[in-house]
Amino acid sequence: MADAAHPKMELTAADAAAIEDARANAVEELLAPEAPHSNVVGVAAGVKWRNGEPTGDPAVIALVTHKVDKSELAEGDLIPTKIGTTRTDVLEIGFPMIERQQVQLPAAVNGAAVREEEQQMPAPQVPLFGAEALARRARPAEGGYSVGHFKITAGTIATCVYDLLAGAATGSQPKPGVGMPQRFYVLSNNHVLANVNAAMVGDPILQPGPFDGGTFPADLIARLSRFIPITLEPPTPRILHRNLVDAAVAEGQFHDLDREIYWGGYVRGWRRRANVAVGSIVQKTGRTTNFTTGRITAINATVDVGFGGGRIGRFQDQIITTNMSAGGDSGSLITTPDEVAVGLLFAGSSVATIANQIENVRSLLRVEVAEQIL
Amino acid sequence: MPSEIDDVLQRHAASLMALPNVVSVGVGELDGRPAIVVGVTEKVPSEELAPGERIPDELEGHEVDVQELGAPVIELPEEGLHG
Repeated sequence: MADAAHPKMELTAADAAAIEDARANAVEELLAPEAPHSNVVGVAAGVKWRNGEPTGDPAVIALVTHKVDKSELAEGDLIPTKIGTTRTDVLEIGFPMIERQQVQLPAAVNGAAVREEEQQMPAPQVPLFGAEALARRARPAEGGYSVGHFKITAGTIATCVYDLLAGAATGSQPKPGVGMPQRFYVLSNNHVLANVNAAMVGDPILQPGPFDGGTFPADLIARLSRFIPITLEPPTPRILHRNLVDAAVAEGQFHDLDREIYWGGYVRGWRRRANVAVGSIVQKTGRTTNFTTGRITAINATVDVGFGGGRIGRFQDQIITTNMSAGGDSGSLITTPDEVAVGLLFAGSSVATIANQIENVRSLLRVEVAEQIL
Repeated sequence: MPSEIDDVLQRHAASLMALPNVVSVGVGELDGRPAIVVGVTEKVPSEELAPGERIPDELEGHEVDVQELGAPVIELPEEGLHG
């Protein structure tokens, strides 16, 4: 997680002056109305980020509506790596108008005061929802909506689940159980619901997440029940890591939790890890990038993932897909196009998305995701 | 039932992950056939690497495909926006 007080996030006045020429050139070059760069909506002075961490080096920042795979861009649309001698970085900000609209809304968007204000507003010409429609409060909440531990920013609800029932089995002969669930949970990542191992059982979980205006106690939807601890370097050398999942559940009330996925529909079943195949098309709904599809490019993958603050977690038995996510989509359920659960999304780069095998999530958390193995 | 390529990957995963720029190893496809895929933060011409730093073209008869993966980070708002 980025720390707001991180000194390397800040651009000093001297550095800003030093790169001012490069910034002005970038405005000319990237925002030229006669030759617009795809998706570029602004230019700013800032610091270069690498591996999710600010480096402290001054950089010209190209603000884009969304990041696009280099291979999908025409040569003229690529952001140069340097302008003069100054490095560039690319910051995805969505559509600034809509984003700002949301920032101005008070936290309690359901409050009467807001409704009165809204009545005075002219009818919008275009729908105001868009880039972050799932960042709003919803009851019952569905898979795809914003959620978060009270000390984090925001992630996504995968779906809602319950404890394995009598007769259920994991391991080599998995099967669903039968009976009456006693508890119902929101499923998402450890780093979304348990603040990367730092949370206490019983901690408040907010919907929407704090980054989207969720506050305690008004937006409390659940309380943290259990999480699978993640081993990180430092302190543990990554060669010793045996992480399989970044997963946690938080118990809520049945009437607040809808296991349907916004846009995806009901999860018909879940797929065993051995049947998850390279080349398959998959889909997800998430808080930031909404509904997206991708293709599985690798399975049985070992991946080193940045957790912020210089921490790395090595994960085994992961699914890698083409890029289908962005920051805030952590926790999204990855399914087949006909809604069989395959993975739990937790990480990504500008070109790839990484997910845990749903079978590992089910057996480690001991929760039922759906009543059929498909 | 693990297929043979999974065993090959298992034997070589740790040493591949120890190479510079390597962030992932897995089983993928190359030209329609199962292959070992190695994800790197960025591709570097092999002549710029010391012999011990190069990713092999094949492992025990399975082709190795090197793919640029960038640097994976958890998908939280700040992280993902800058990652």
